[in-house]
Amino acid sequence: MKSLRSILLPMGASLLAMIIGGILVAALGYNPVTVYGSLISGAFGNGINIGNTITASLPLIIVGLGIAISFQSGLFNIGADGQYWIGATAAVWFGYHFNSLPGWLHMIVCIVVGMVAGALWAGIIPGLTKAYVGSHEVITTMMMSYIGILLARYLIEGGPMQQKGFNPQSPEIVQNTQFPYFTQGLMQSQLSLVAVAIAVVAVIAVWFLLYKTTLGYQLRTVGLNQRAARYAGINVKLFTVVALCLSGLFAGLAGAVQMLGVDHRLLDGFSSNYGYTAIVVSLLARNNPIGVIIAGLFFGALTTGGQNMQMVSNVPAALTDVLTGLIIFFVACERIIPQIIGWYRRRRTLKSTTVAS
Amino acid sequence: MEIVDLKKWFPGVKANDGVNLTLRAGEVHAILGENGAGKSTLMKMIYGLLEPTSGEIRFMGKAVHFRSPREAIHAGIGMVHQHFMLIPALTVAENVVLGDEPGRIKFNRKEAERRVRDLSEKYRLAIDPTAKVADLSVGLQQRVEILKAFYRKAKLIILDEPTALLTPQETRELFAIIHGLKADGVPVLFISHKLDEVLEISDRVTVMRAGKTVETVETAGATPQSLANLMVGREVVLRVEKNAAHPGEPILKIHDLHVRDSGRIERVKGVNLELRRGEILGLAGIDGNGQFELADAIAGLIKAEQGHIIFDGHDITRLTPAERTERGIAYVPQDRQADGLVLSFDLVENTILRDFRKRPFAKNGVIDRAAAASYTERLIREFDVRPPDASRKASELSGGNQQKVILAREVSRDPLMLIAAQPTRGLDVGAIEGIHRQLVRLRDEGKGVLLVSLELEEILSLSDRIAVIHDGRIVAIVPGAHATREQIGLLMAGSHGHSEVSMS
Amino acid sequence: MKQKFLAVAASVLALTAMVTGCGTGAASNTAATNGSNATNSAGTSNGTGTTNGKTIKIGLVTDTGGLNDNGFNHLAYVGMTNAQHQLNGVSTSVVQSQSESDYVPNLSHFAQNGYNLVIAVGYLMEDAVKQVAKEYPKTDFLIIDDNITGIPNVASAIFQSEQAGYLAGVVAGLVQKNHQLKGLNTKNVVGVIGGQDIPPVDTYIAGFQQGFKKEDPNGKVLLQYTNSFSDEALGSQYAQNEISQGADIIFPVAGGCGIGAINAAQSAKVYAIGVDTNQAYLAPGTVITSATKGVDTAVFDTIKAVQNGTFKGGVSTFNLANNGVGIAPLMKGVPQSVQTTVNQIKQQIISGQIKVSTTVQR
Repeated sequence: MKSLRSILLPMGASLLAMIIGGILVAALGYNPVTVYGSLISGAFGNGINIGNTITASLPLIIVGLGIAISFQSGLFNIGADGQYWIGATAAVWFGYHFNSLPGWLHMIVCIVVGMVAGALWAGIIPGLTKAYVGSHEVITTMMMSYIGILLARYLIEGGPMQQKGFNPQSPEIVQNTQFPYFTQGLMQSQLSLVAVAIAVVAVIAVWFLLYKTTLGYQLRTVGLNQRAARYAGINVKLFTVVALCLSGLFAGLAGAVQMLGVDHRLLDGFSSNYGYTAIVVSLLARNNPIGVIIAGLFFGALTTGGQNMQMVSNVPAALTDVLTGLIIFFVACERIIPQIIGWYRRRRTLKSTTVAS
Repeated sequence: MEIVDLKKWFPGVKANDGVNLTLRAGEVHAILGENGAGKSTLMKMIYGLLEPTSGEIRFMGKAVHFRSPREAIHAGIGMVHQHFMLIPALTVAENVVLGDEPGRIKFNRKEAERRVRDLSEKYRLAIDPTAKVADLSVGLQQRVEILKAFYRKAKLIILDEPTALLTPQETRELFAIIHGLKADGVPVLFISHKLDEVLEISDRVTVMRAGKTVETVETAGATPQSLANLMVGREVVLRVEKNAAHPGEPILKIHDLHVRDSGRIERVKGVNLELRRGEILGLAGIDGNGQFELADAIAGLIKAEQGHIIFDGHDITRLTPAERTERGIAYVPQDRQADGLVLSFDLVENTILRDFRKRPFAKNGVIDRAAAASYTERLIREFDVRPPDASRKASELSGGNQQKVILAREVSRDPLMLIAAQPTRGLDVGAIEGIHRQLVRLRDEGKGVLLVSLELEEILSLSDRIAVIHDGRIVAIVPGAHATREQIGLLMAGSHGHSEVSMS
Repeated sequence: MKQKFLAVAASVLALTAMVTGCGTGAASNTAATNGSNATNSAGTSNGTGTTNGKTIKIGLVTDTGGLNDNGFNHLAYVGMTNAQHQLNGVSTSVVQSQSESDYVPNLSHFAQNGYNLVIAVGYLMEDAVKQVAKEYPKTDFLIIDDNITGIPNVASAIFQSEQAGYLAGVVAGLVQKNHQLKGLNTKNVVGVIGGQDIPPVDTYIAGFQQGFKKEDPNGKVLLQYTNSFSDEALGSQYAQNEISQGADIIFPVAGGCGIGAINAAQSAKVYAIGVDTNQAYLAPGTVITSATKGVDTAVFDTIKAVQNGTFKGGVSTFNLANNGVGIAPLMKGVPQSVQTTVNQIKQQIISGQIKVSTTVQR
């Protein structure tokens, strides 16, 4: 009965969002059937669109995994966006700077460098200051995120990574580090089997790490009850740093994968906001790595579908955002609100017990 | 009021399965039962929060069916919940009249205060109507709840576990109030799981077990033993049976230990203490005198500021909690939900909390769930944890069963020493008995047991020696066999009059 | 955990269910666009019918700045809308890119659905256009502010906005030197605010500096970059800063961020010069003139060329000579002599007598 309810509720929520959105769209003089039809066909309508949806969801899934790790460890990594771009920047630099390495090795080097860069960006300053001086990770990760993005921006806007010429962009990474596309026919979707494989491996790895290893056990214990963790002999400070490092590691991995698989160079803009969307992805998935796949695909579908909605039904972009936002809101309300309440209560009871003792 | 064969079935659970009860005018009637015996369900039905599956409630001679608390209040039933339903920001008078305010549109504060003052005089419930509820002690807040009931013209007062949050002093005051009500002819239904309170305050006792009322007895003819047996359904050992201790070598020596709490306040101010193998050392003291900080410091959860802890011949003062665990220190922490368990973890994950790094639970950093689960199932069987389901979350267990899980985990690690802080707090008779038996068993196996408790009864009945802590210092150590309640009580309060008996 | 997982799955299912439930209209719609271009289900034709029986479909892909960037995205849209209204048989569609990774999918989407011309706004799309144009050789592409060469189906529009900046600088220099507007101080300082230190911004600024110095060699040009094209408050802050240093004509080249600067100039009762498009409407009586960049013209012309079958790949340069850049009419109150000088200098630039550099003086 409970499981039936948990299926029906989000379905009802999506439906409700579509009805409300449909009324809105009709009131503005568009045909709701066309509008929502274009949303769905844009996301899943044909092979290319499905490819686009998967491509769009991969960074969300991988960053989402990192966020899930931090949430499960009781930490709010708000700065995954900066970690993503730092990972991307590092991967791109290695990608164009060296060209004598064999292709597969070069690819691996780029990915590893991206992961390490992201991990350090989250682990060094936010992690260590959280663990040893108690500065709040929401502030520090956020600030480091701004710094990371501005640094990446500087590097390509007159900085050492700017390509020769006048455009603010980095040189393209060498050909043999670029992921091969899925098939020739799906080339337009930029879907790469390598990127998909990395994401799948990452999901399995995170799931295994969190639920099957002593490392994950300790992270979750720290996340759920720090006092019990101390009682269990867990080094809470160490695992705070480890958790933020791991979280940043996956954000950095996402950056590297996106650069090697899709963008091939750093472009000015830095407006993807994967780090922020991934927070919602992770919350929607209840910080479960397997759920992150579904939630990531859901958001990927809304992105590609939303852009198709603009192209096909000619609704303005702002309205597209409203319509997709409605769906997210209704689906999320049903799932996130009880979580936030629960989280708040836990924090409060924890606080009051700490005060009382 | 009369309750006839009342039943409430939830899907899969018979919360109440045949409750019979007669409440006479002007009597204090106690309902006694273990946690989960169905007391709360019964209350909710009387108060209109739940609808009975079958049976009947009669009130003032008529059958009643309350569909909401409002109807119950209207009929004259006053309920004082365990957790108060007051608005802290409002005054006493405002809280009492809330929902039925004097004055038409404009709230007549003067009138409200006058009425509340009259009521408090009539029922001898001294309170200042203009005081803010947030500023009141728990005992006074409870008084406001009782006043609220009378303001709504209650003809019957139900007190649900009223002493759970009260200090001993406040409990005395509450009992005085109940006696007053009885003198005024107001019937009181007093719900509790504490034997001594029930015996002290009630005229008659109805014992509930597993959703049924087992028996109603006159309190005058009841003994703690008879009531406990009725509650648990079998012969219960109230007084812990134990043989003479055979203390061996010291297992723990503490020299001049100083400890500060997280607020940098010095809580332990130079403690010297020795615990031997094969003895239970009771650490008695009034709450806040450093006993729990001392326990935490021995377990390694708080750093020692100064001094030494020698365990099993080695100085462990600088070791991490994990290293101390390895050397054989088991610890049942004071706050089982905040320290001892991860409530969202299942029992398997909680069982390996102390040993998750070691074989057979983990190999090369990978947890062997199957090994952990079979170990957990064994402990569940041995310690009779209910429900016997290893995949349950710790939060789904009752307090007694949570404590059983902690104790099972700590004891089964085959430690050299157990620190048990408040091991039976909030538990009912049956669970307390089991835990006490475990402590004695450990002692008889030659382990050292340090029992830290605020319950003097518990200390007195279990300890081979009693150390009394006051203001962060051990003021006396008394042999358990000769100690009296009065003597320890005086020492706990800081009087040094009996220090000549120290150092047995 | 399984239930939570199912719950998310269910919400996706619910979405998919909508495809089958009410998506039939959409499906046929897509089929139509995929097939021939007999129907123009996507896009809003001007409805006056098609003169030669053929409707051309134009798709516009903005960069991540979006349509309301008060800059080239907006101007490209204006040009496309003008074409739709003024030319027969043009249907249009726009998509705003949310991230850099969207460029390729968005460009391909239009190409794949048989659009005749796909307009990519901004040099950031250079790689994406190159890639997609090779895959869809039958579709024509126009990229703004970039110079792609060697692909026959790609036209690039570049703008010599330094020429427009130069004329704006001349206006500023003249009114400063002779204090020809009410309330100008005697310090002869003008303030420039750049959105970012990038070529499309810096060309304007370089021209402005040279024009100003030509007319008022002793005047001073302040220059700051906001590193934002959207934050109005920031633009206003920078403007106030420059005004406090004595600047009484502000020239912001910073998109939406610059609007804040113009507003700040208005409240401080000093003057401003608009950019990209005639921004006099923002603050009448404050905006002396605007240095304009004919992105709309370029887009309009290219659409027209596609319709007439005269589309040519390669780089088109837009400058004063072909009215691709210019300055907006001067504000009321500016003496006629200024207009006269501006006209002379314009001719000198067109004839090559004056060469305008694109390098910013720092």
